[in-house]
Amino acid sequence: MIYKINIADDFSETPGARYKTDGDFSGQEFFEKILEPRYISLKSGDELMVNLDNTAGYATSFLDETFGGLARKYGKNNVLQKINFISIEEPYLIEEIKSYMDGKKN
Amino acid sequence: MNNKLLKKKQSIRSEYSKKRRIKFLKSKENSKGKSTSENHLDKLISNSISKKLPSIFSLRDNTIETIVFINDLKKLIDTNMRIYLNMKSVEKINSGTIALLLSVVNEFTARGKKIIGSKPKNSEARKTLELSGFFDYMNGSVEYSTEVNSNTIIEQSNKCVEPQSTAKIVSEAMKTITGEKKRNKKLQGLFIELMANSINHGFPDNEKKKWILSTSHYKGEGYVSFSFIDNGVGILKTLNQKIGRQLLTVFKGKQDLLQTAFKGEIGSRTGLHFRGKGLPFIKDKFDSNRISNLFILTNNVILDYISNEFYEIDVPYSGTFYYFEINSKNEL
Repeated sequence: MIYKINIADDFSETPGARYKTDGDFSGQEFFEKILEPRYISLKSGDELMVNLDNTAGYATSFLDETFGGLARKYGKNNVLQKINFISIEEPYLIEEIKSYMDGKKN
Repeated sequence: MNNKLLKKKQSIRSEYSKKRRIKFLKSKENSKGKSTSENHLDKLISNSISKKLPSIFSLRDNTIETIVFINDLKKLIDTNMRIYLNMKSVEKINSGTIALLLSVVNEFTARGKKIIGSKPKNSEARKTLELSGFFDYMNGSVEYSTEVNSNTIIEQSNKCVEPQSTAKIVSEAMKTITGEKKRNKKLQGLFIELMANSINHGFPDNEKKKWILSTSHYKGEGYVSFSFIDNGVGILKTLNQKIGRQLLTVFKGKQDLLQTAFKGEIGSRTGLHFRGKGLPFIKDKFDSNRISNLFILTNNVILDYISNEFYEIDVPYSGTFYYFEINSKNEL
């Protein structure tokens, strides 16, 4: 089954920085409220499409905390087997996110 | 009492009363044509610590004198007296430096201190100050009322990143440049990095966290300028703490260390795992022509990407100041 997360619709059109303590709509908040619960609910063969478009823009810390954080917790390969990204507005973001999935927290 | 003594006493009285009369007439003459509020302001000024701004009040054009003034003003933060900012002789001032001054004024007002000010005699400088909306932030009093529309938005926040506020600022800036309100994701990302850097690294004391973003729209000239300021400890101090004394010897001075941080090469130069994508992200926006005229002052180092000059100055500055612009030639 294919599940979808649209960050602008399901979370915020104005995502913020890394931690909840930084302010509104942080990466940590998105991770805890939306991304991780949805990810761990996926069953074998399920797929999660994450649409990055229609937001005001992203900070590196938001992307690192969310997708980098998921890869650090569950393994990059496992995450990439289940998650696909969509970005028509900023396609380069997908490679950027994958780079955050490598190694330690940025 | 003999006549001589009586006459002498009368003469002294008459002399005293004459002097009082002259003083009264002089004071009347001085206040002639002034409104009650202006006379009130004169009284306030005479009971304040007067700080005269440099005639060229600009971080770019008169760096040292401007920073010295800011530092001197900061030293008065604990005084109980009212501060009078004498701006009469200011001939040149720009929005970035106004924002810098405002960041200090905010520190005073946050402590309940009163600030009053006079406006520049120079019409261009006065107009710049009035249009900036600076006088709206003075909690004391200013000379004459201001009835002009502002081309400057001053946004300030305590302790947090505010992506919704900057999204609006970005949208308005895009309208000035392109004629329509729209998103600029790179610029929004840049503002979030600036805000996050400021609140996460600039202030060891949680209570003092504050950033100021000043945006000036120059529709006729076709550009929008941004000044982002925090009065925290500055990037250099933060880097020094993270890298440690021994590894700092790798760098050829403070400007080399800062430039390396903005290039994102601290890790490769020191062998440390260096968390810090924020500064390279900011510099990348200049390199990729998303923004123009990037100028950074932090601690006592200036990174002037406008003229490609990077140097130390003799006076310390606590905090970080960014200036940059967008125009129609940028990748929007």
